[in-house]
Amino acid sequence: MSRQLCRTALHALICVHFLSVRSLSPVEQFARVWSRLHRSRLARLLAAGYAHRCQLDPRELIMALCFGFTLRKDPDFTVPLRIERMPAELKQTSPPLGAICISTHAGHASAATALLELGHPSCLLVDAAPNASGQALHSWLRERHPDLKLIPNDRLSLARVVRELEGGRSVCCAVDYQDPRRKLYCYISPMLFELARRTGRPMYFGRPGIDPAGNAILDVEGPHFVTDPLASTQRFIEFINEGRQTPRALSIGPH
Amino acid sequence: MKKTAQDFEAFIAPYLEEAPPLQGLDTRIADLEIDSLSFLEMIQAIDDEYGITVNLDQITDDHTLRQLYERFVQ
Repeated sequence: MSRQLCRTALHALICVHFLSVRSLSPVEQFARVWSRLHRSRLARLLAAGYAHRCQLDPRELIMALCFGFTLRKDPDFTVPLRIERMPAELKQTSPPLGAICISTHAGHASAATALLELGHPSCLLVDAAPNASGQALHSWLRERHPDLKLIPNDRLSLARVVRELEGGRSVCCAVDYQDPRRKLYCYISPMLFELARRTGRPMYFGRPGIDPAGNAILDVEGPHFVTDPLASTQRFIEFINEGRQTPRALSIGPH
Repeated sequence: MKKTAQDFEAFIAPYLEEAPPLQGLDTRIADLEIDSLSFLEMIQAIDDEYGITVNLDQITDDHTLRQLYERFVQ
């Protein structure tokens, strides 16, 4: 079955399920549709054939699409976040830590909001020229978390990151980026690892996931004090793929 | 301390030597052919040399090097 067909069929399947529960509240709709679809062989088959640029596994993709459907009905909707692991150092709110917390796309925003909720002043490095869904995410973050500072990812971004770290803010960032030819998030940038080495700041690795109850999960490991940026980048790739049935095809990027 | 535009241009030149900006100080930061780590090094050097703290909330990569100079160094 072609990828486009899988994509269209999965969207249609999700749409039909949402229509069947349209009398419920958006939160109940999400819970009901998720509970049906994450166990559905058909949905998982279609999701597996639907090439996704963030390399989400079928359940993660179904979750992301159900979330998108629900968000269109209720702009305030959010998936509950369950913190699987959070290093003790990040639970200390005073003095401010000024740590670097990295993840992949789909996990970096969760990390930033989790740190905010722990009382850390936090920043999030975001695309400087986001697409429509990125813009919607940024607006949503600004509304729900007015204390979260968004740093555009451009030529000035690392200089800004250092300023924020010096000011005691923690900085969260997705370090995966797209291969422009394949349109796939398959590279991990060693740049922030080099910054962590130069500044001596602790680095934390965040791994996003989901559970069968429809919660987003965040697993944070660290601190890592980087001495060899390339070795730490490789360790991060291993961390992201630990426990995944299908490892993501990730490699250290050229920049 | 020398604070003319020419002095500033000479001061930052070593940070840009691999790809000198074609329009000198009128080059936009976004058009500099350096990565963000190199730009960080340049900003830290400017801070140290001129005894200032470049407020990065007040500039974007759409600004030119001249605007950076006029706003913070001059």
